[in-house]
Amino acid sequence: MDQVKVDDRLTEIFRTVFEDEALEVIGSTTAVDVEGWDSVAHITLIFAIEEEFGFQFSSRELENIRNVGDLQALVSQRGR
Amino acid sequence: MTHRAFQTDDQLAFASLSGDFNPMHVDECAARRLLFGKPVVHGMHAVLWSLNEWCGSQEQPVALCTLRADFQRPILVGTRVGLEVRADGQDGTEVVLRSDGKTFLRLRFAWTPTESPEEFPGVIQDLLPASSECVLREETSLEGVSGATPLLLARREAAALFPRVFALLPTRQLATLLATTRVVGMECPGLHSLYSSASLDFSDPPVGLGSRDHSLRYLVESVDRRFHLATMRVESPGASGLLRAFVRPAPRAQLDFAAACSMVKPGSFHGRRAWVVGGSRGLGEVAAKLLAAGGAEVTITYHRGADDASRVASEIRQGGGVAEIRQLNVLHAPDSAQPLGAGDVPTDMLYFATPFIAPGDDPAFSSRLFDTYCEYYVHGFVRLAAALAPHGLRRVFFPSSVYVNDPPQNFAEYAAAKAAGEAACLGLEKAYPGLVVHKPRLPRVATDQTVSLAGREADDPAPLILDALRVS
Repeated sequence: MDQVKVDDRLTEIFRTVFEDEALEVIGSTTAVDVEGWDSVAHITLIFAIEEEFGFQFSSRELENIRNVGDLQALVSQRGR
Repeated sequence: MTHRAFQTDDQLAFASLSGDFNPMHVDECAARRLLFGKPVVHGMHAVLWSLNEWCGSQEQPVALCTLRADFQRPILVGTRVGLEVRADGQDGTEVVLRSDGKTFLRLRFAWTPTESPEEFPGVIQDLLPASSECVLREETSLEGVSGATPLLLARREAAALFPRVFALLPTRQLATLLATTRVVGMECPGLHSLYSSASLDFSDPPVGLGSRDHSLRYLVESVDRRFHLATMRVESPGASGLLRAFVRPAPRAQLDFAAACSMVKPGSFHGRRAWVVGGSRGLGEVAAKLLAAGGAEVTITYHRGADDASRVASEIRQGGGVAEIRQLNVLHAPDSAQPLGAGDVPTDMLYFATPFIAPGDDPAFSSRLFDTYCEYYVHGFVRLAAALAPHGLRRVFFPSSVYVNDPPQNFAEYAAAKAAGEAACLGLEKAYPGLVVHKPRLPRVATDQTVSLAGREADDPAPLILDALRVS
């Protein structure tokens, strides 16, 4: 998938989930950097990404997500 | 903006109306061992209150066409939340409940004017749900589970709790919404549930409402094992949709006394009279069993968990150990001016009293949260140790934390209070020569305080506590 489009769509999802229209995320962004990114918000975020891109993360993939860059890479490989 | 803080009495009134008596909502003592440490407002209670407030702007009866509720965060009893109407129109009304900049409930619905809330007078029975026990279901056997719960609406109670909703919304819709929380909290997933979302379509004609089957039927379609999340299809006359609910982790069971006896050499702790402060559960329970297994005479103190403390003491006694229980609130412990009775003073004090440990809300540091931790880890601890020290106390065990070395995000207050507790330990040793204070920095281990929806594993605390006890 086009990485720029993936990044833009992911940013939109982040803005919706965290209710912040000005939120900017980059590859190195982690949960520490985004207010409200707790365990429950993380589940909401994952569901929103899965719904938008039409695939489901495996448990192993979820365990290995350390930052937004990992999400971007996974979505680029598996999303549609 | 309208505000509301749901209180315990509100919870009980809603539980009575809905039939959802899940202990997470109505039992303060049980809730302290559950995921959030305190009672949580029923999600559907928040939905119906929000609808009730919104109905204040309506002049004639309305019927819901669709409703989507996302319970984004638990609303703890006593938390003040504010209602915001973000969009208002028949095709899409959106209201949210927020507090401290965070959204707790997001409610979206479409609606249409209607003629009367009682479309089929007398069909929905004017009854409170019968009381029942929460069903305990394992996550592994949830898929395919089905059942039904009757649609009921006790008019007087509904009118008292949600007067505008009762006056304007169809009785069957109100009864259906109430039935969903009864299904989730009492039946499926039941005892260890957490309502996550409801997506309901009310656009079908209420076929079957005239028949005898006035119920909400449910079927668990899938369970997402990654998040322990069950998806249920539900159906009632005139309504259908999906409910999602987490399967919460159960309170953590610690090692049994027989296992403790297999780990400890008999007589290892003979001659010790040990007070295990906060010994009714968690690390305190483990320490009490290990000490008793080694021949110590154990007094398990508890604040609110009398049943848990009795359970632990009974298990120890049945296994041949010596244990008794004693109610003690460390926030009001006896100070040095009020010595305890002769023969009552322990040789050992192991201090596990703690408030509920949760990440702080302030991204930098919350003085209020720090003060709360300090009430337990510094003031309560020192008060009790100082009251016992002049009367024969020889050893003190203060469980510190590896978080002192490297505080995780939002745990700075906890780490700082534990560090302050360590400093207080040094002060006690200086003030009472001969008193030995052991203050190991323990890693994150498996207790009620470390369970989470994400199901992150933690180490068994028993070997760790035993090592620490041998050193002390």
